Amino acid sequence: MKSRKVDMKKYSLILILFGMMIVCSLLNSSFLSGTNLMNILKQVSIVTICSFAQGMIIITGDIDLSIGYLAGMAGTFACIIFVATQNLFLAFMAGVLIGAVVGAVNGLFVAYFKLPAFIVTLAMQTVCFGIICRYTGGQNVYKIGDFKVLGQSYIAGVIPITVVFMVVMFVITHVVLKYTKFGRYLYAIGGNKEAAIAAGIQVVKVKWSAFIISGVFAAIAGMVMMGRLNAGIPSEGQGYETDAITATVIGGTSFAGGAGTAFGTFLGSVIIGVLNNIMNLMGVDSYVQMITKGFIIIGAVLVDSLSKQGRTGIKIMASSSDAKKTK
Amino acid sequence: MGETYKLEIQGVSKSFPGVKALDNVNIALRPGTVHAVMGENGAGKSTLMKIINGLYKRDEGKILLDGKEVHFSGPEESGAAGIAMIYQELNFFPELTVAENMFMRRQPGKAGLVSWGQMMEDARKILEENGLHYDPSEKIKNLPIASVQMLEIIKAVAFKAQVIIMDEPTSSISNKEVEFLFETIRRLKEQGISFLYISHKMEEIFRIADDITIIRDGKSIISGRVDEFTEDSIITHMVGRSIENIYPKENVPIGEVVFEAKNLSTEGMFKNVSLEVRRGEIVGMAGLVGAGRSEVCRAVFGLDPLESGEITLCGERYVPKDVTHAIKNKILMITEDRKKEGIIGVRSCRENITLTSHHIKKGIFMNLKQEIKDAERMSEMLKVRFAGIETPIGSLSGGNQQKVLLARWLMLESRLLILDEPTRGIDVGAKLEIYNIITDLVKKGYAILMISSEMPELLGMCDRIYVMSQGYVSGCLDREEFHQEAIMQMAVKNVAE
Repeated sequence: MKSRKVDMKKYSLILILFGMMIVCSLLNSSFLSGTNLMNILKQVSIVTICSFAQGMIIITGDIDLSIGYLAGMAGTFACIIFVATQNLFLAFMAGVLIGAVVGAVNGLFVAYFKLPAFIVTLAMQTVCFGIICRYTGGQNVYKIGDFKVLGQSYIAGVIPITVVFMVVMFVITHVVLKYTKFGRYLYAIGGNKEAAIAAGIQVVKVKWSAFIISGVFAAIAGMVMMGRLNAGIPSEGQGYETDAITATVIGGTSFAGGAGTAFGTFLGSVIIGVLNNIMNLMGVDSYVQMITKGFIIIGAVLVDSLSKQGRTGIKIMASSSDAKKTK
Repeated sequence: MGETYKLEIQGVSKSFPGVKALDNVNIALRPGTVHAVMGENGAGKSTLMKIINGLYKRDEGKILLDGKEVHFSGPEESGAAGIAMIYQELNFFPELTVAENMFMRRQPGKAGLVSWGQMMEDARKILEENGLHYDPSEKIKNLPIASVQMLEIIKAVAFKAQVIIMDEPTSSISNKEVEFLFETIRRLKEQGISFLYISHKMEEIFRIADDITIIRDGKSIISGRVDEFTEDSIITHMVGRSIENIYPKENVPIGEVVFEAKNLSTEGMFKNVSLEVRRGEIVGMAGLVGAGRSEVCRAVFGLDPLESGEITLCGERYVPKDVTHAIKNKILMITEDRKKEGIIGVRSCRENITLTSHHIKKGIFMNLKQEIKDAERMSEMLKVRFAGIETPIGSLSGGNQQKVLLARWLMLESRLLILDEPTRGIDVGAKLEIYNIITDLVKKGYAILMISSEMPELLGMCDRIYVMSQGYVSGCLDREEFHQEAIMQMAVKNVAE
């Protein structure tokens, strides 16, 4: 009985997505076209990469609000470095390094000094934005040349590079969460930090590493973003952290920590993408789109919360049925 | 019959989808008595409590209060009718004062404003009437847990409760505090207040209860006066089988000293604690709550600080650093608070079992196939009862959770296994299984250090018992010298220099 229920939960997102797609295809005939579907993936790819980062942090029971501005900063710096050196690899690695450093600073305060992640990463937003604007004088960086391949090129002529980045980051996140000890530790810490400590998990190290990974992911998202825009725009990452939270939560990651998957996050992100897409196709006013999106987030959390209450029901049944087996 | 009852439960049944939680339960609570409700975990006691206060709706049956049938829609209504519940996990606001907690939702005052002066005055009066010497302006978090419990009872009575339902009230308080609790209950009994008292603890029942009802599988099996029962007959009714000797103690050859601690001290926690554990030995640690037993073990395991002292582990020097270090040195510990420091409730049993097993690897990845195999093997070995290894551990009963936690450590090699209150909050059947597991472990050469507040458990299972008092080891007894009174005397001995 219980396993069936869990499965339902697992597939409910897919069902919702299919349901939405059917409705959308009825609303607008061009929705189901290959170009449009690829477009949706392309549109969600950057925020999805941010969501993987956010998801990992939320699984440990924390939050990373620095993701958006960090993406803006790391992406813009990578553009500047590329313009100066014309070496894409170097620029990319420099971006990754910037992400890692900012993540490490977040981790230092959150994991080591045990400050609330919400405050630390919120403060880090302004730090990131301040640093990049101080450097560029608040200007955007144009004429970034070949840096744009990170966001505008196609693989085999059809698959946008942004989608490729998203898929690669998905695979990495999925493998880390599911197939590594480190992933288990993330869940354990989010599920019960005290118990994780008592099981010998190096909570400080694991959390710190999680923030570094989150920083790197954000930086990569930022570079892809700038490539796609064909410019280094420091303010562009703004809001990505909250979009990432939305996608993760719709994807079934528990805000309390300890639960969530990469695939769920991906679906959450795509669901938002489909929603945006159909509203655009239908010519819905962009302000109305914002209102709709807001309520959909609340709806997703409501569903999550209701299904958790349902789970308490299962709990009663589970414990009494195992009591019966005791006899 | 003819007798009038304060609270009567007649033929109450309750089903949840797929399971009948209560099946024709009958309990009759006489006024001014303590009526013990006993049963294994999952027998339906908590469902019953929730039916009485209206959190759940009964499917069948009647509840009579003073002979009149009542239907409560929730704790508010039942509270207003004079039925108070004191839960195992107390409901209070740690950051608020004693007075604020007492008058929560009943604050004196007008127009939504709280009259602090009057509230403090009233609180002081109620406390004094009941012989409690707390400062009403003290924050609740600064009081010991037993005092908070006492406060709940006093509060219930002050606000005209006639029936007080207590769920495992002594599970987290010391023996001395139990005395105080019992005194309070006896005093209130004389005032005509009736108690429904849920407990696992046999000795308590015989000391405090007037009547007993035993519940098994959701059915009330038998009710009667307490003197019609013996400890054995209660166990027999509870588990539906008789337990000849619930402690499966076997004589295991005892080997060399595995763990030796000398003069362990941490300021304010424990002082000059020396102890040793040999291979094949079950060593107990007795003492009152707060004597420093857990603290010593936690320090050895690296969870709490250790300031001085020497530890030798299999002839080598061992200095506690953190839990990772302890596990590396094969010192393992099951902590006292299963929920807080044991289980990762939302994760599956599989993940909980293999959380610390670093050997299930394939390169840098986990070997999932091996993991599933090992988790299944361990759960089978320890007879964990669940729907499968993917069941979230939080949904299991206490006994099964404990088995999963044991499985976690049994995946690893161990030189010293510390068990802190391994059977707390676990029903009799599961306790027996845990004892069997412990016995099997020492047969395999494990060295076990076991803290327990249940004296019979220590007497039944251990080869040697250290007794701690006020942070010192006040004595050590071999199995031949075991005697409940001797241990008690050592536990209360004034050992301060």
